[in-house]
Amino acid sequence: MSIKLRELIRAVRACKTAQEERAVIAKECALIRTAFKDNNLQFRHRNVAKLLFIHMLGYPSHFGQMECLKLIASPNFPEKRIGYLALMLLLDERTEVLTLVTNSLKNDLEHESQFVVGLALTSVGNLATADMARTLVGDVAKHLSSNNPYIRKKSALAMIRVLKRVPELADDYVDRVVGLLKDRSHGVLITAVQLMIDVLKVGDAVAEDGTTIKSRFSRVVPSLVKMLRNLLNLGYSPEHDIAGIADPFLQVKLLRLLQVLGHKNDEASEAMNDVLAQVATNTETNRNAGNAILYECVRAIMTIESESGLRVLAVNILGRFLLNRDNNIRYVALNSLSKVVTEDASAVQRHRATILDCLKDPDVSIRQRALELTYQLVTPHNVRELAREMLNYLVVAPPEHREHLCGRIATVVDKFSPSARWRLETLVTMLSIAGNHCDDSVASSTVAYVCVADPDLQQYATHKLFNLLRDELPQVQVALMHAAVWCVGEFGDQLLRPCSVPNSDPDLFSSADSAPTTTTTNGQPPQQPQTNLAALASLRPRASYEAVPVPEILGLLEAVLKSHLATVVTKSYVLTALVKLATRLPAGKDETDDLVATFRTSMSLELQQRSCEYASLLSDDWTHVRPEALARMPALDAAALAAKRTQGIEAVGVDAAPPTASSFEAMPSSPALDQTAPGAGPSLLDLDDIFGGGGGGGGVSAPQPLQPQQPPQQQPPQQQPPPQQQPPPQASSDADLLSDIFSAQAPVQQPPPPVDIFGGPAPQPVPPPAPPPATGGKRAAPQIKAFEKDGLVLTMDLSKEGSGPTDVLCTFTNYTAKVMERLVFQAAVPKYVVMEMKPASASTVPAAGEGTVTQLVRVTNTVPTKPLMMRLKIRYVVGGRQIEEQAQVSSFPAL
Amino acid sequence: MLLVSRQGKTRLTKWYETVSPKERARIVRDVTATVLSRAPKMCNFIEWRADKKIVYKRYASLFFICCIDASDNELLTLEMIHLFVEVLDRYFGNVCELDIIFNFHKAYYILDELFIAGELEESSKKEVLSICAQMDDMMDESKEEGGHKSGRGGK
Repeated sequence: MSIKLRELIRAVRACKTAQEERAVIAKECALIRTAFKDNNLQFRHRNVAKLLFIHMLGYPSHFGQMECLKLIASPNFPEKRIGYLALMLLLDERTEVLTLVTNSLKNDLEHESQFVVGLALTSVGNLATADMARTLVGDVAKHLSSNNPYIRKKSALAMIRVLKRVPELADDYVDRVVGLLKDRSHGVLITAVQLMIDVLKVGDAVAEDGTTIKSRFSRVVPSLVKMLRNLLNLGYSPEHDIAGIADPFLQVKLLRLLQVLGHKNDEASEAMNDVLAQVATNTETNRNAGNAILYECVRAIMTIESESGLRVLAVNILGRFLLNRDNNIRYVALNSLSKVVTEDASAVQRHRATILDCLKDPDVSIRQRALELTYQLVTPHNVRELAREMLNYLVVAPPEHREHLCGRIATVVDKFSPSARWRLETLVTMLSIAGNHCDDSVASSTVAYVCVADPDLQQYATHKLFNLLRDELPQVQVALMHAAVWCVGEFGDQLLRPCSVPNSDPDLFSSADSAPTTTTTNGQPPQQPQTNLAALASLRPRASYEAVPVPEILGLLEAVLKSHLATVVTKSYVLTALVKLATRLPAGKDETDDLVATFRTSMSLELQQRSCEYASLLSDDWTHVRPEALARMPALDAAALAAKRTQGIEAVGVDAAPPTASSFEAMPSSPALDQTAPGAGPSLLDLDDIFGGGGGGGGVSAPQPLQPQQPPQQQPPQQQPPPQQQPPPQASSDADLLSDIFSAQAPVQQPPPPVDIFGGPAPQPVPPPAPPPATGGKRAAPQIKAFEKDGLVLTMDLSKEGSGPTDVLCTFTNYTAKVMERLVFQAAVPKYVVMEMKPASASTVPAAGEGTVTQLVRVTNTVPTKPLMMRLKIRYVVGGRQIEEQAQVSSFPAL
Repeated sequence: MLLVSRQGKTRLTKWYETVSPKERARIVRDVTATVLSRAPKMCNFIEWRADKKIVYKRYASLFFICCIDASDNELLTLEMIHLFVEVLDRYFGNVCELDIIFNFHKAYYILDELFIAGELEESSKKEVLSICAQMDDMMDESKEEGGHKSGRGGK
């Protein structure tokens, strides 16, 4: 005999342990199953109700699905009701038996009782599949014009589901939906407005037709405005009133619809300006409901093409929100401001202080929002202040957010840093606060910056890192340790000399002073306050560092090796550092030998191998090559770094780029350039190189660049066009070379005879934009854009040492939104060119220009009189589609 | 979109988007843990997953939790939760957690009269209550007709 639902609930609640509960449920489930099998009609709906309870507790309940269908088909209302409830809870869109319900639904939609129809509509609204939607759309839509408001509103919401599943139907019901707006029931109005919003969403998503739906809806803007105004002027109506505001739900929905309709539509926006102003000024803000309306109103103002006065009003409202004591309101304000900031940065900058305060809020939702906003507010002028605040926040940030935050700070530092020293200080501070959490790239970019810095700064950085490592070793952050070990190895000799701060920059880093106070007032206990604050304190820039004796340097490295924090990677770093120090610190050679040798028997293959190899390198047999093998790392390609930075700045679109990057601004980084102009991108620099060699500063590496400049007429006729490429006659080939380069700027300009250009000391045909002066005396590596199509850009950086081979560094960048995979790059050269291809750095090019793949090609032109040419074949897979492209590059700048 | 009430334990769940049972269990666990760990003074919104937000509010021992799209109006969602609570309150007459535990199906019925497909259906409390009352009357009537059926534990 089955027990009542209430008794089951009571029994479950009486269970003391999970095991007891499971036993009760298992017993009950068995009983319910038997009842289902016996087709026990009397208790069927009670059993299903019990099953719902069991389902809610998280036990399997699939065996009851068929029972729901039977209940729904029953003529009895209580059975139907519980059947529909169970249907919506136990089944979901993917359940196969759902298709069996379609017929019952169809019958019930025709039922005489409004409640049965209501139940059926609710079910359609909550779980209709695309198939069901197609079958039932007629029946559901019919009820839109029912004379019962209860049915009308339910059918409007059911239509939302139907149209979401089968968007192409949307077009047919536009007029019917608009008709609902004349309704008097608020319920119907709310649902109708919501339906319109969703129709606009799916209509736009499906086809170009979206615009026509929108324009058809746009006609009702005046009546929507009127409705909203009536709501505002409406006296007290108890039914829909919340805290003295007439139906906030309907108001918000109306505002939302207006927002969609007014977006990019001047006429509609014009019609709603007044009423938005009215809402913005007349809404009470004492209660949440009022704020909800105001918030939606502000969003509407920001979305539509509103008057500037209205926008100012909206930003002011957000400013007021920001000062509100209620955290919810502050959150909403921060959230909206981050949308405004892209178009009206100055208005948001006024609230900077408040936003920075929010960074110290105990609530993580608010902190995250404030952080996003802070990040967007950074400009070259305030980068010092904001980066300092972000570092302060980093101290208290929860560990799971630290990585993201570090990435953010690194980007900011990368883009806006006012000086090399500042950049270094900031990165080092960041590493010492959160080195355990940040990406490896942060440590390596720090190292890269040290690498390209001027010697004074290198020395300072090495001293600083060394001191930090020494002071914090027991609990040092891993990334800081790695960076420090690398620098000590690389620049260890610098530690032997005392270091005074290169240029005392007064406001360089005062953050450390303010850090302790801000973090303690914070209220939230930071993760490791002592160590972190100590870290900050020790970061205070010191005026000078003492010279470090050799034993201390080696002692520290030894301590690192013994530290429990040292991983295999760390130890590898240390080993490499030691072997470098062997040449840099001759006094400590014996000790380094010993330390390196300790890993000869290491269990780690990597360490053992390094140890053995380094030990033999340190042996006397190799004394003559050692200085060269262990020479200082060559500085990273500063030009590439700078170019990357410039791109970043342009992408952000901030008003003023730092002055250091201004000379690169001429270099367009737009991916949309025509493919027919391969030299278009960096053409100015290329021209600079060509003319710099031939016409302008003739002294630079004269013999090489002159070779292709020989007048072609004087050359013997070419006999051997390389088989795989069909070079035009030599004369026009050179002309092509030029026209390719020039076509970016002045397509009409005819390439003059090559003789004139290269022969004469002063070139007459200077292209319209004069080549910029070479940057700061050092010339950027010649770079050409070899290939550009469908968002994939291939640039080649040429470099050459002496008379050896030319290194062509091919860099692939993907500006599309999709990742390009399985990239294969092939190149063919004429017979007289010897080519050697190195492996590519990766086979996947990340999307949106967020990374590059590089591949080095080394070419030697054995017949320097002939032009260097290359035919390229690029294959890749994007979105599962194999793409193959070919291109020819004949416009290599002379080296 | 989902609506969960609980006090560590789930009292009511409603899914307006298709989610597999396994995923449902995980989401409920995640969300419960996140919400319960919040201090009372913190704001009622949590950013969750890539493009969702959790809006929650506590009434006595129950948390009412909604998951909404990132572009939805958070403040209005709070107001919707409040509307639901008020209707429950009027229906049960000073609602408490036990009412919802023992009459969870009724809470579901009310929810269905307020929201369909995750969208608000009716803003008038009076309207919702009168509909629910009418439907309950129908249940009672048909019970009397079919005398032998001893319906579920009525109120």
